[in-house]
Amino acid sequence: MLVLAMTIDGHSVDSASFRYHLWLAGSDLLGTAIGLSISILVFGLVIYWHERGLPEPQSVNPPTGKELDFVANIVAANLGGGEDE
Amino acid sequence: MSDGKLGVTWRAMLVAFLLPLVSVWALDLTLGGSVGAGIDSLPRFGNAVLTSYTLGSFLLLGNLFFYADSRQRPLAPLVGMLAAASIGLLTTVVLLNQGDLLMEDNGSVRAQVLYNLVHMFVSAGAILLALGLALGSTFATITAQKARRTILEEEE
Repeated sequence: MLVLAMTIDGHSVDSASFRYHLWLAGSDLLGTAIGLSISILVFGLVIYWHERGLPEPQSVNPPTGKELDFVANIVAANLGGGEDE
Repeated sequence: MSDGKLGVTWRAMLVAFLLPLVSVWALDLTLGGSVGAGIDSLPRFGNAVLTSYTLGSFLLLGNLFFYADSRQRPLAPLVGMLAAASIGLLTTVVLLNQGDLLMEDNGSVRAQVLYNLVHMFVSAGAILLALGLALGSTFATITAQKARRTILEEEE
């Protein structure tokens, strides 16, 4: 259809006019795609900059040596199990 | 998928995208046309970029309300996106006031803005229609194939 309209004059539009408007439609579609892509990029940048500026979430202190020893004792007491058999 | 097959797939997709465009371009040049309909396609391209950017920004500004719901409603991204959309709107109006830079066959800036909006909706409708047709034909092609039989080899 496209090739026919580009080569053969019709009742309503001649082929030269069709080719002219085909280029306009192409530039319209390309511009729409680029504009939407830029808006999505800006949207992502706005969220990225906002998230980057947020303070770090509060976190608990790392375990002390005493706490690590306590946990290690509990783990050691519950590992193995060969003695019961 | 291995890297070699992935590269071939990308090349095939690129060729499938470019081949129809290059064919139409070649046919147009063969028939005596000028590249890109001459200078007339530049205002159309610029108007399409600015209009779709502005409308897309306002659409994504509405989308930010859902983002705000999950983040204790911060105002900063809303203000940032509103500023981005306003820049698009302001740029459109300023450039349309610069004479023939972006003005097409319309008498005033207001008429050109309305023309851009209507054109944008028509283009968006065409893109959505093409997308629906492409997805529908792809789905029909996939479902029309014969069901593949899985042949299990006997374990030795």
